[in-house]
Amino acid sequence: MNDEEWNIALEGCYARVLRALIGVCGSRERAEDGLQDALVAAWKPGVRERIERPDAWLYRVAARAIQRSSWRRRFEVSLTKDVGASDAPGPQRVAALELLGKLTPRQREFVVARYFLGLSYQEIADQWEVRVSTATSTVTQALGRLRQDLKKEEAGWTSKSV
Amino acid sequence: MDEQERVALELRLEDRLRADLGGLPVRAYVYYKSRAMVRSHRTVLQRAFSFAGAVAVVVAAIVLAVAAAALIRDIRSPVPASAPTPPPATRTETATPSNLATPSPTSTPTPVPTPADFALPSNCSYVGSPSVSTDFSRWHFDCGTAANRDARGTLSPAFTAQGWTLCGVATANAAWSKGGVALTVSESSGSPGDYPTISQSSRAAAGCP
Repeated sequence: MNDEEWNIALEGCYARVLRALIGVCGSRERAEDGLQDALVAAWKPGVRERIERPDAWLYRVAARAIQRSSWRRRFEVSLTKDVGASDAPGPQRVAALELLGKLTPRQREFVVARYFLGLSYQEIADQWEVRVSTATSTVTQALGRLRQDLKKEEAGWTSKSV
Repeated sequence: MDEQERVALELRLEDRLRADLGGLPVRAYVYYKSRAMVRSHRTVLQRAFSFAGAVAVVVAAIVLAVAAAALIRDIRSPVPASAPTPPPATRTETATPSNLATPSPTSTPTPVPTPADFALPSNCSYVGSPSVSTDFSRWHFDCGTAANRDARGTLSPAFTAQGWTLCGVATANAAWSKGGVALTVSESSGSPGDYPTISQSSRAAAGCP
């Protein structure tokens, strides 16, 4: 994938990948940071030529970067404690994030990749370098965890307002 | 969880994610290709200028080296006896005495007179431009520092070998004659830059002065 193709693909998938990352980490800022880290990694020589699906690659690399930088959250928490004001309405109030918050990090990554980015189990397995059966079982376990909430929502009941 | 229930859950989750996450406001992608292009162009310009600068430096060094070599050559190279330094532009060719030797037309474009019928020894050469006028001509010559101290003695064998007759020796001068032409050898003062001379008077047409 040359530079021109890469930029065109990036224009098309940037917002979608960023939203997926917000779903994974629950924070727009952390998602943007992670995606920027992924973009920087993609600009290293010889990397873009090997990328077949830019959205899947960026999502996986950015999700990994977000996980690696999770230690920074301790400082963020200590700082926000001193603010003393209530949080403004934001992504934290989105029901989907509440659902995803009940999953493990790996389950969140796979569920968002599968049901938001539309990756197949094979593509998830390729990107995360796991077996297809592992990807399938991880998503199945996630569905099992969300089963009750999704059923309640389907019945017209939501635990929290959006 | 049966297959039907799984499919229903998947559809429900997919709808929820697309509705919620898909509606999140996010900043647009910053298309920084232009910056990359600017960098690229800047890099190309920098390389071009550095290459041009290197070429200019090399050319300047070569020009300076050639100029320095030419200057050193002008300073150090001895003037050939047969080809004295061309006279200054103020000299008039019509003022050349008729009894001076006629130079070869193929030697130099501008004929330079030399003493009539006399050639310097091989270790000597003329220095600078001769002083030529209608009735008097004078040449400076250089035979080396040691030989210049006794210019008369140095040229004496050459005069004798070329058929000249010694008219007489005066203070720092020696006069020679041959065929009605007289040449006078004068010693230098010994100061740096001063050389012994050979003088010829066009009036001395009757041999020894």
